[in-house]
Amino acid sequence: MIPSKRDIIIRSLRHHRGTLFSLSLTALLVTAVITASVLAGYSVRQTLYSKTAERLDGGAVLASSGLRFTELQLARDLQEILGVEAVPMLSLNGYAGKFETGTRAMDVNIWGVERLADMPERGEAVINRRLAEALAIEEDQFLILRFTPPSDLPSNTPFSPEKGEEGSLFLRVKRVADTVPYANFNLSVSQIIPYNIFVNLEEFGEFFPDGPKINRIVVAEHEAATADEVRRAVAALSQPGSIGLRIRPVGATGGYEVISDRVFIDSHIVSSVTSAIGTASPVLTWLANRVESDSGSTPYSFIAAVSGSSGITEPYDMVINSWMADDLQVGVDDSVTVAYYVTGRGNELVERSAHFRVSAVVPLEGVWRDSLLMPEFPGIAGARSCTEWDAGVPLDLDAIRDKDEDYWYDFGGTPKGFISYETGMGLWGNQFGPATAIRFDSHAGAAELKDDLESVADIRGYGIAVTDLLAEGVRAARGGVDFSMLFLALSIFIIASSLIMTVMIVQNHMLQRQGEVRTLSALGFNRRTIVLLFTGESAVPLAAGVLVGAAAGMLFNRVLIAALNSVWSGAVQTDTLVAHAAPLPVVAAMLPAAALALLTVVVTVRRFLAGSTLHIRPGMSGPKALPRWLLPLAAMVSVALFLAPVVTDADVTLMQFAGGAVAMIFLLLLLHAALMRGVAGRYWAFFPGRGVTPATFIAAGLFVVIATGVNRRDFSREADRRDGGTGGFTHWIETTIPVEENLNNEAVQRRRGIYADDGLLFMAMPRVDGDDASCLNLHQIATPHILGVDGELLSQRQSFSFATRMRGAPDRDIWSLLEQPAGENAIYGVLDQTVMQWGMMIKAGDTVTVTSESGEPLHVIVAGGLRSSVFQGHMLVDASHLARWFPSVAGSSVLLAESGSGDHREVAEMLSSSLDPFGPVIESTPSRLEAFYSVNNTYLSVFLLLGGIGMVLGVVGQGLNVRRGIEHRKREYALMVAAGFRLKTIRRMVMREQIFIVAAGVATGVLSAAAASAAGLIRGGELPLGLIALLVLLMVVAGVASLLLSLRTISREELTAALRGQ
Amino acid sequence: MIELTNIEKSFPVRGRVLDDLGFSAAEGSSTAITGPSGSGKTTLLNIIGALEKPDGGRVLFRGDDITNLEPDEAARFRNRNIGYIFQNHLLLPHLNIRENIMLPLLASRHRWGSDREIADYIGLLASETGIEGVMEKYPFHISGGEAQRAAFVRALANRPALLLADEPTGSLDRNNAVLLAELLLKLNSDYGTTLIVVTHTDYVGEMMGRQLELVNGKLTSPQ
Repeated sequence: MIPSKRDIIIRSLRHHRGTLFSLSLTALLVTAVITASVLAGYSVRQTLYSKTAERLDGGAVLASSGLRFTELQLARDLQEILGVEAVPMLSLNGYAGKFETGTRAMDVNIWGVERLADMPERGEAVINRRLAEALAIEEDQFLILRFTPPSDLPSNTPFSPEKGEEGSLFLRVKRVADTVPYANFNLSVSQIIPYNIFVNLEEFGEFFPDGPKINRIVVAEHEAATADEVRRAVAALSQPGSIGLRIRPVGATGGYEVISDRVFIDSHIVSSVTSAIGTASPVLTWLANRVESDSGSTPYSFIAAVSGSSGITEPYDMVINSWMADDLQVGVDDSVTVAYYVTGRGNELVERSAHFRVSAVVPLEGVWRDSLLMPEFPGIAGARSCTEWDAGVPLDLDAIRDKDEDYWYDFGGTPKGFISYETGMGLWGNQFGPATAIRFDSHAGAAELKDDLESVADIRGYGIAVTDLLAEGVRAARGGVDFSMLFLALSIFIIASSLIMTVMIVQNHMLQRQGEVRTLSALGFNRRTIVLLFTGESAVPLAAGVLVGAAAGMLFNRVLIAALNSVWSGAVQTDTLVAHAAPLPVVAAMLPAAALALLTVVVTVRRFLAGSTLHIRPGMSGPKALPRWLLPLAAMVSVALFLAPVVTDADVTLMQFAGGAVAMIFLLLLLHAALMRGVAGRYWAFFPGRGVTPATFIAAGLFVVIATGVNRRDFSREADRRDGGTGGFTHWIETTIPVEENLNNEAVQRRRGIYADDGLLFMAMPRVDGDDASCLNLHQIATPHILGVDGELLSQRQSFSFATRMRGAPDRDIWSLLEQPAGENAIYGVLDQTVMQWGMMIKAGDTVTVTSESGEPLHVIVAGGLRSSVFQGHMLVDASHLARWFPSVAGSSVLLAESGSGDHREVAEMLSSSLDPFGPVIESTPSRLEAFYSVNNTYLSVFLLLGGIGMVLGVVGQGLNVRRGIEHRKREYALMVAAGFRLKTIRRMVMREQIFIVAAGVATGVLSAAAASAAGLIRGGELPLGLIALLVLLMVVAGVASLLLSLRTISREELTAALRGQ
Repeated sequence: MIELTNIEKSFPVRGRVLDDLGFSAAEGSSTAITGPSGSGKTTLLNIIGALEKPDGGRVLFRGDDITNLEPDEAARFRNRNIGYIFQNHLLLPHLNIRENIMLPLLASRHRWGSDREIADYIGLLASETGIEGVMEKYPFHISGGEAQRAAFVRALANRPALLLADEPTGSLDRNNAVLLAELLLKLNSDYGTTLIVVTHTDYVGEMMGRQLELVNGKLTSPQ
């Protein structure tokens, strides 16, 4: 009999369903946007997960020797011990060209394989669809593949032979693989499909003395083959041969020695072995250009630095053999000078000299006649004469005498002089290693020595890094760009507009039901119950809106993904994203949307009840005039902010933005003052919010949208600015084959045909490949590419600028910090600020740990974040540190060039031709920046579009506001009608008022945004005039339409009813 | 039953409307309060009914001080002790007449009798006020007079001790106005409900046991 609260809610819902239906629409909109945003992020993540599995083709764990090579047998042994497939691969980088046309594709992943579905024979290749399309090549056509020849001995090793031709293969395309899983195989963490070519491993046998080697082993996914298991297996299987070490007997001493395929032995190996095996002692043998005395000069002699040699008591003592003593006419206590080459900065050869005292003269026999002390330099060992030597250094053949040839013939590389090992280390120690051999004075035999070496724990598995590919891929995908938050942020105006409309609908609704509120209160309903009744009736339409909105959101997600794959592909660099949906993310979106919508209703109802004082008429506290000083104060503050950069060091962009924002406030205050004039102004005087609030919303929205739009940057004007993102360089060059020559050398330039009217400066940068950490990669990257830069040059040029720097970094010059060591296994580095903040989620002062060439961890302390630069995606360290920690990186595969003047396009064409053998890709630095900013600009475009939609919705909401105002003023209008005003006149009056408010909002937003964007405009940004015009047009159309609809309620019937008070 | 002493009430623009006002009404009495428009009659009624708080002074209801009740306490007080009739009936349009009448019983858990007793009581009131035939209809289906009588019955549903009527006949014709005024007085005599009526209508005011005029913030006997 007594109605329950539920009964009242249901009745009210039925009675007011028209009004409450509009709540459904706003809830639908909010939910659709939130759901679509959440699903967009979910879809991208799911796509990246599936792409991870796709690009790994069943592989789960990687054992990699990095820049070095290991034996094929290791893969076979690994497979046997694990019982899981372990695929050996030789991974190289090169470029391919179609034989018939010369069409090229750069940066091709070359996979040397010994097993593959549809395995290519020698002379054949299997390529993926992407490469086939780039080359416009089909099956049975031919291509040429060029690459840096793989070698155990890096080409920049001291005394390695002159660099020969790059490796090349002439291959028939056996198959274009586009559906098989391995087609897009990629060990790099990226959504971009690489160029892949699969070649028979045997093709690379010629580059290794004992048959082909590998540098990657991909272990298939299996529960028995976790990364730890693989790591243990690799360590257990590790033999000296796995890390390029060989044991051989030393006839001269009766002992044994260990030598390396890389000639020099890593310091870690030397220290581990000499610590573990007491009989071990290191040897370092070097080629001296000459040994001179007062009486003569002996050219091109080997000097061995040995430990514990009799006759050497002082650091600069030298024992020489009798042959040299005769040649130089010296004896004990005489002085000799040794001249020798070392590698300086930029791999330039530098001749140095050291003075020694002859401490003993020994006969050329026994332990002193030991030709095995000479390392097996490929260009020297095996030469029949000295003149045949290819030592990788300039040789003055005229200085070689017959007696020198005779010595070589009789004694080979037997050192003519001996110094202490410590002294030799000081003179000739280099990044490749401190020893050319480790000698063992006494051992039972080679087998026992091998066992002893294998038991040295620290070198087991040395140089082989094991990575859990799947876990890394999943982590990188999960931590990548969060498109959910991104789209939520970009859609903020739509969400805000929808919620504002919700507020307006509820306020309107409450206004119409003021009497009910009064009655309920008078009858003894407490405020909480009244709120419950009014929000309870909203819950059903809200819930309906949320449900339908979730479905709409799923559709909208498909639209978003389709847009990302097409018109917005600049943001994702792929067109293979797939729209996904699942119950959990949908529910995760619906809940906050529902909560937000419901909360908005609850808060609005509560505030209305509090403001209406429930029981009597709405509180009217009199006209609200602004303090007189507010307007001039706002004007002065705005002007001061605009002038601040002129008289202080304040940032121009920031001050102008702030000045523009205050100018907007000033204009809105001006609007407020204008509204209060005249007869109509009496209404606005009491309710200024109803006029200024919608204008504020429109102005603020336009301000943000326009100011953001100007930040779409045009980099064509940045080419000359050294402190800008180009550093003053004009061209960014990447080569597939690293350039080992110094391109700043005039002779090299002449030989290569490099010329430019006003000179050309190159900065060569060796690179260690990692993962692309630029914004073009959707994944979160932990190990970016590393570039070795010339910090001194950048410091002198004052190139680039820093957005952030770590505490304690020098105020002005971070580049000079890079050269300094930062501690044990630690160096300083620099990253692009955008990459740091959004890609890697780190900040200045944090540490990035990478694996050095030897497998040791290298900690790179981020000294600063570069303002947007061409280096995006790379971590910069000093070239000297890169050479030390990655000695096998020979040459530079990245260069920056600065041409003084002239047509940059012509320079690019010239460089492309001159550097053709290296497989160059040349782009202007502004173009490179533009590409990075395509991501940023795409996001801004999306923001402009979604923001614009939000603005239009806001204007539609303004129609509701008008409706509310009309409701509020109905009696006023009714009285005017009773006094003789025509309805048409009243409608016209309302229309004029509202159009004035919208126009004022638009003008305020546009003017203040233009002022705020001045700095951006000067920098090259452009006002998106087309978009602004479209936005304004849409707002005007939407505003007028909703206004006209609202004006229909000003009818004679409605006004009469208002007079009657019903 | 109700006693107001030294009541002060001001508004920002209107200024002081109640100035050191004193008022009392005995149990079962009927009082008409008249006065010019804007004199503060409705404000006074709202203070008596704990819908508004005075700026100063005290309000006692059966000896209890109700001047500064918290909002929930005030709501409970109104529900149990006050019946309110407005000039515009303010019936909820989405409830039928019966449900509108029952509304005060929903506001709190307080029930003065069993469902049967309540139903009989409401039925009796509906019969006495001549609205028993429209109980299942909705407010927009009945006349203004019927609606106002329904509001009258609603005000009595919880058997309040005090009935406050703010211009109850303001929107009625003379016949309906007299009918309603007679109903008010009948209630007053039959049930002993104290009655305070704000009215501009002379004949309605003259029907009450006492007439007071609110002038310059104070209550006086009319000249």
